[in-house]
Amino acid sequence: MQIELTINGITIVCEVTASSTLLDVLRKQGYFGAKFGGCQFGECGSCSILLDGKPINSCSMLALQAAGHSITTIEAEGEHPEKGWRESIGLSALQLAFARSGAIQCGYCTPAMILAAKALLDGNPAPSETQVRQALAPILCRCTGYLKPVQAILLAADMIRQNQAGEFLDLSTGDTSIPSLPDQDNDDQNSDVSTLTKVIPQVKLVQKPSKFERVGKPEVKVDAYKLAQGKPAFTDDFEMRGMLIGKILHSPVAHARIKRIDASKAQSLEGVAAVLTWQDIPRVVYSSAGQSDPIPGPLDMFSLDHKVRFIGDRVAFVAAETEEIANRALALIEVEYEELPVLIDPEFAMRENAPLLHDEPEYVNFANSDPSRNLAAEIRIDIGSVDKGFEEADQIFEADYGVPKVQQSHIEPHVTITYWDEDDRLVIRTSTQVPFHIRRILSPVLKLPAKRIRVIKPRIGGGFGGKQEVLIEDVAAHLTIATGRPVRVMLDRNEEFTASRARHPMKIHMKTGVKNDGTITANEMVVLSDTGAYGCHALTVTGNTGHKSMALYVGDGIYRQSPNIRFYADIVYTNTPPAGAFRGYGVPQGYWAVERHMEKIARSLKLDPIEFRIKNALRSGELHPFSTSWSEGREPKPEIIHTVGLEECVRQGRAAIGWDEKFNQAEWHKTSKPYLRRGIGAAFVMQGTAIPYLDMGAASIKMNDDGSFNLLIGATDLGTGSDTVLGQMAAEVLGVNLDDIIVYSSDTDFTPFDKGAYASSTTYISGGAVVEAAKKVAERIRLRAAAMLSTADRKISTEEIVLKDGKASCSTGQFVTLADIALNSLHHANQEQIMATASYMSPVSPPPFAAQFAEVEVDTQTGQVTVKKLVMAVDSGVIVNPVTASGQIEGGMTQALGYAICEEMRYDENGEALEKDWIDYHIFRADEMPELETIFIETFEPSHPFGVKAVAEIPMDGVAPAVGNAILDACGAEVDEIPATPERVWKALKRIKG
Amino acid sequence: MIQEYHRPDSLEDALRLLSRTAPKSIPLGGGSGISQTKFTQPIAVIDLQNIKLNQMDRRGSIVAIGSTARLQSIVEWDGTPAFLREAVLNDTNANQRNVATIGGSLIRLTGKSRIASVLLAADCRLVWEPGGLDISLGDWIAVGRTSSQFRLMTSVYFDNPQSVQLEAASQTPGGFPLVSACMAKWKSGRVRLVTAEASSLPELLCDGKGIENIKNAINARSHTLSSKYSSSCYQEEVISTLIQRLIEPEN
Repeated sequence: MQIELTINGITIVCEVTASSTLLDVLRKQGYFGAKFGGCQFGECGSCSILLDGKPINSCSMLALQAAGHSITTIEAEGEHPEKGWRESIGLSALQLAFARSGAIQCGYCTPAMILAAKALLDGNPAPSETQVRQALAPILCRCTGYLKPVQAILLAADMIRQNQAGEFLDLSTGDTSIPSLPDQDNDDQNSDVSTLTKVIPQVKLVQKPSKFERVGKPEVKVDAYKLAQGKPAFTDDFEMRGMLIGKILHSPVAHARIKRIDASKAQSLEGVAAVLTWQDIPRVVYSSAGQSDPIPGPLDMFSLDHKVRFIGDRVAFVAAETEEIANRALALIEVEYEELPVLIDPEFAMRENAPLLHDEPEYVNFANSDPSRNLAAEIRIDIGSVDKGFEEADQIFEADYGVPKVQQSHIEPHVTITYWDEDDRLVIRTSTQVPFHIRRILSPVLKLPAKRIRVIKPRIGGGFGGKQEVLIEDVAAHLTIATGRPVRVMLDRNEEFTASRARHPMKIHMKTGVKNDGTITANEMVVLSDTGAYGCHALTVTGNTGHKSMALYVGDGIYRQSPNIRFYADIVYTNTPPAGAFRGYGVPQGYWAVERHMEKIARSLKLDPIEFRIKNALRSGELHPFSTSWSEGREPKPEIIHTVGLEECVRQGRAAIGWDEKFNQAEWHKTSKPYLRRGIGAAFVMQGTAIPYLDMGAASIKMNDDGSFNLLIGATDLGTGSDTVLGQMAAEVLGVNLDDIIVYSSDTDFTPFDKGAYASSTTYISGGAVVEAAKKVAERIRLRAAAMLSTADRKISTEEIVLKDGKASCSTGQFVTLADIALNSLHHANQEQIMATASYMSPVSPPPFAAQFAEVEVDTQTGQVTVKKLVMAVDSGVIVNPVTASGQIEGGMTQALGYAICEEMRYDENGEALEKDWIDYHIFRADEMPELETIFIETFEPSHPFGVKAVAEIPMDGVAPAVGNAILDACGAEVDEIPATPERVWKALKRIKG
Repeated sequence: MIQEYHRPDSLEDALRLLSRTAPKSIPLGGGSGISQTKFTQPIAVIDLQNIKLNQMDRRGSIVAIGSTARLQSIVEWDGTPAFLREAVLNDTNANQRNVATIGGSLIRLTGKSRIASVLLAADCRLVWEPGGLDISLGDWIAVGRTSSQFRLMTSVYFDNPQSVQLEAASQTPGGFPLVSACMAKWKSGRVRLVTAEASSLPELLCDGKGIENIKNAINARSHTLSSKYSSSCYQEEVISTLIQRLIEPEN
């Protein structure tokens, strides 16, 4: 039927059905600013639009309901300031504020946030921070931690009131609102804005770096304006004629053989283009883990198999004209299962007579995997003389810890579109962190040479490791091969929870030998890790659990010179959805155990928990203790750690949280209610920066005839701001502004190889490649500039040429602009394309370090924990962009807060998931956040031209143990398993009372 | 799937449409719960937005709210008792409040709903058409939810208590209550106590005069079952604690 809808003041006639949602209709009409988070109950709010000026979820309203109402979408909010000969209305104050204050990371929820803010400010031009947070509460953001969006709205409100939109937020002005911290020695180059909260974090310099022009500056993200406008930048914002909807039939049982499968009824349904079962496609064993070649794990899965191994496993694929028809077709597929015994508890996985998940003959082992024991991977690492270390200890401390399976919960679901192009090459447009790995891994699965596959990565609506996986690309590709037509596959939120990937749950045993003076003599961690039904990332995730968390505390004195460390792990299969990569990659699991254990030891020995940690922690100039024993990538090689800012992190962090006024201060722990107790806790952590001798990134830089540059990178910005940071590095070397660098990523046909966005490597590895490529281009520019500036009287050498402010200048003050040079090179003399490609691989993985602090309030009767404040002081080397980097810290801390308090994926005895939506699986909202504070402690890492180290993953590591230690401090409850739910805290309190 | 959409202009037309059995017809308030529901059989939705069932009125101590009153309008209305406003704000976000109705919120009530708990404690009554059926929320929860005679809720009303207090334990400050206890008191001395656990419907524990009644009701409370949200031990002990906080807040 046809209806009239009034959208942004224009009435249009739309074709709808009774069941069409308003969101579907808007997107079909080209209003792509409203996004779909796959949720069923409007939990995410990314589909927000304004109906009669009020924000609503367009996914939860029928299009027919909206007839007769006024609809406002983000497309009406503003436009790019440059529109050629037509005068632009420009971006709105809100859009500018979001862009300039770093409120946009992946940008998937940004249009919704801006519209929510618009509705708020239209009715209340001077909102409080609380009102802003309430306005943002309907919209889930998994990237930012909400602080910068709140700041952006307050800033926009301020400027709208002053009618100064477009002229505000000068980030170079001085900062007056930051409270002083001890011994500030920062150079005050960074600044603040005038509202309640500050945009730019504090940056403390341990070593003074070289002065840079672009590196270290809070540049606006290169993709911010388009994301603020809700432009069709994401995978699903793409329409093709004749595109089919692909759907997956998931297994309703946890372990079974498919005795019979009959798709004939589904195939005969009108509108169904293809139904594929295991009988229809090649049987090729592979791993879905998006990792470099060779995949460091077993090959144990097929696109479709005659056995299912978890509830949610794949049974069949359908492609149909509409989603409704596809769903009906799924229901018509007849499957007869021969159910097999179910293995849910990892403790039983390796016992005799345990059900075996992988009995397929095609299984390909990696290292010590052994499917006959349900063992996906095994790790045995002994450093030093561990048993001797235990013998020399005065006391031995042992305890068990548990960490849950948790979900990445990127707001954009997994989504892929595939089609044959005009050259009969398969194009895979997909939301992925690893486009090049996808092409390589899918080639054998699809029986198509890699050269006949092109993978395009548009903007990504968050990934966090969940998109370091070949999760649905093969599904869409098989259906395109079967039908010859374009196919779109998009998971809904239920599928994200039941058929996607998650963080490995683990059971961890700690044993530590300690002298009475607090010297650690030996440290041991034994891990049982549950990889679920398939072994993707099994070895490497769990390897990192030990490699990063057990490396931090080496002991003191003679033990510091020769640490005694043991790390053993079994990674086992169970009939649950597979685990995989998730920000932190095994390390948050390890630190929960290590840092809770350190706290117990310190308190038991009556030592100051901070001093105890510092005494035993790794120091600058020491060997990474694992570097001679294990590496995620290649054979281990000794690696000295050159920069350790941990002690300064501790000093600044404890000042920011007010440690000395709170810890051991009895009065501070009391509140106005006798059952509410305050507590404070700390945790120290280290991560890695890329995988040495393995991770490689490349970049190409091409000069255009106006003196601008195309920067082509295979690196994948999943919302982190890496395109911007890489652009800043290129701009620094080439002496231009960031907006003269046009960043494009990534497309396997056009951009050079990059292993993808994982392992906290992009700034360091891909950045290294960008710098190298930029240096080559700069050299060509200098050469030409020298020739252009030379005269018969004076020959100018290339060494004299300085690139700065878009000019190539020599010592005499003469210069040519880069535009002059570009025109000269392309059109005038000895024509050439100034262009270069470079790649970078690192022999080291310099760790970032951090001190994380938490303040909590515990209800000692119900066990409810309210986190009041989180502080993170982090040494990530030189910070290329303090706004985007602090956004990473705030967002990471917020994800980690959920890990600490409320996020958990559980299964019943049949393997059925108990959490399938964002109601039962709660992620923090804007109106329930604690105060967040980020402090950067800058060191200069000598292995990188700009001194950088990683920043993206480390904030995941220490929040949970800091919260756990704060709970202990508040009420004495030893919570050894997260999340610290009210019931777990309540039970821990009961144990104290006996 | 939703096969038909109707937007009647009168209550009579709405009732006529809702009386049909093929396709099964269901009322559509805000639609927040219906638009994405995967129905196993074809249904028709009857959109009530053109019918004036959203009036709010306060006469003396009686508060009456039309079933299609949006939750946001309830928040903004001067006559809304503070306990109801607080429950709405705690249960819903702005996007939901701008669409969801009080009627729809009660139709879909669960133990996670503070709105349901406070209205049950306040002895809220529901008025239904056809026939102007008037039934207490408690009775409707107990027997009415599955009855076909309750076709279209037109309003809810209650005698505004002197106070309604709710205590809850939840995972996060904005999370739904895992367990809760809610007590309404009237000037007459009447006290109603409601308890709830996230996986089950809110339950009236007692309705009488005086604190002693409540203490007796607590002692007589039936054994609860563990749910996916909490164990029976936790529920029993923590709900008792929450009740204790309600009846003896000074302690």
